[in-house]
Formats: sequence, structure tokens, C-alpha cells
Amino acid sequence: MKFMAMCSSGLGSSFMVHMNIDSALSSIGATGVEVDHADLGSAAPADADVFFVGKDLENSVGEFGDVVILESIIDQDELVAKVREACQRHGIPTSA
Amino acid sequence: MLDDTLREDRVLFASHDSWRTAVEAAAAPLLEDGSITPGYLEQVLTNIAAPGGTYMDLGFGIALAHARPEAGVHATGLSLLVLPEPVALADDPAHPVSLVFVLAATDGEEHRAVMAQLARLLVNATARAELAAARTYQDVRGAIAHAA
Repeated sequence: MKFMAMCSSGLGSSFMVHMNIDSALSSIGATGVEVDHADLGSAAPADADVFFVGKDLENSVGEFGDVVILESIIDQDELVAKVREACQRHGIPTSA
Repeated sequence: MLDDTLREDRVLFASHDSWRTAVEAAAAPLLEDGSITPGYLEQVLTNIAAPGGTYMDLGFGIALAHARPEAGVHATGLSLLVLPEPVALADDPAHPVSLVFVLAATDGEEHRAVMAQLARLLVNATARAELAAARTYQDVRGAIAHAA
């Protein structure tokens, strides 16, 4: 299972989301999820199972399958909730 | 620590009416110390103004202005402009920002360390409020220390 954070540069906000997904996964006790980040230009739909982007890039991710849109990329409560939902969609057990 | 890169000479307090002059002012310390080239700043401004460019608004009035390293980064770095009144990023009223970070992004270990620390700082609601209310460099250092 792989989660991928994306932004235009692949180094700034996507990297920040990547790290915040890591902490969200550990806070909900989910294991076996690989997390990475990339720029929109080089990421392909086959690169991950779930893609996370900020809401302003919503229109740039049409070809990606399972996309999670984030209202704010530094709102950890929102991210934890959406990471938990993504885990549930893909049958990854979470605690608490 | 984050204050090794977010040094006193890289933290500014000023009022601006436009997002463009605010980002230029925020980037000035990185330009002056050679961390970035004028071309990098131009690319940052272009990217913000481009469709979807307001994704650099992280939420809570905080912008992380950045571009790809090949646009002109010589060294990893971070600067910050604290605005007493928000400006509308890309002239979009849906994106008022009062904290403008400029990231000189590279793809190395130092970049990873800086981003990890910045992520920890900005997900901390108390630290976000302290940064927004900061009027001196010591206030900013205090916010960094509280989130560490």
C-alpha cells in the first residue's frame, strides 16, 4: 500500500504533507503503508494507491484514481481523519 | 534547529499591500545572502500567479512560497515575513496570508531536516497563533521553541 503526496514542485508542500501523513499513520496505529511525495509532472497514476493534494490542485489530478483533497495541508486533525478513511477504504487496520 | 536557518536576519516584519511585494520582501534576505538567484524569485512569483498556484497557501494564513531548485537555488534556506495585515495571495480573496515563508528548496539531507522541523512547527496550533502574533524575532524564536 502506498500513499503519495503531490504538489507542483514536489519539494515543498508535498514533502510537508508526506511527513504529516507519516505522523498521522503512526497516531492511528496503521502499519504497512509506504509514503512518498512527488511533483505533479512526474507522478503517474500507477505510482501509488492513494494520492493527497491541496484543494487548489484539485483540477490537476483528474487522471489519478483515489485522490484525497486537503482543505489545509497543515491541519493535522483533517489529515488524520482523511488518512484514517483512506486506510479503511483499502482495508488497512487502524487502532483507536 | 529551525532557527539555524530561520535566523534573525531572515525574519522580517513589515506591512505590504500586495502579495507580490510581500513575497519579494520575504525573499530579499535569501537573495542578499546568495541562497537564491533573482531567477528563483521570478519563478516563485510566476508559480503563485499560475492556475492552482494558491496551493502554496498552506491554510491558517500561512504561505510557503517556493519553486524547483533548478530555478536557482544555491543553498537550502528559509525566510519569513510577518505581516500585521494579510495580503491576498495571487490577488485571490479566498487566500489571505499574513505569514509568508520563502523556501530555498534543494533535494538534499539539509532540506529534509528543515522541512521536517517546519512541518512540526506549522501543524502546532499554539505555535501558529504565536507566529501570527509575533512582532519581534524573539517572539518567532519562542514559537519555534514551543513546537520543538
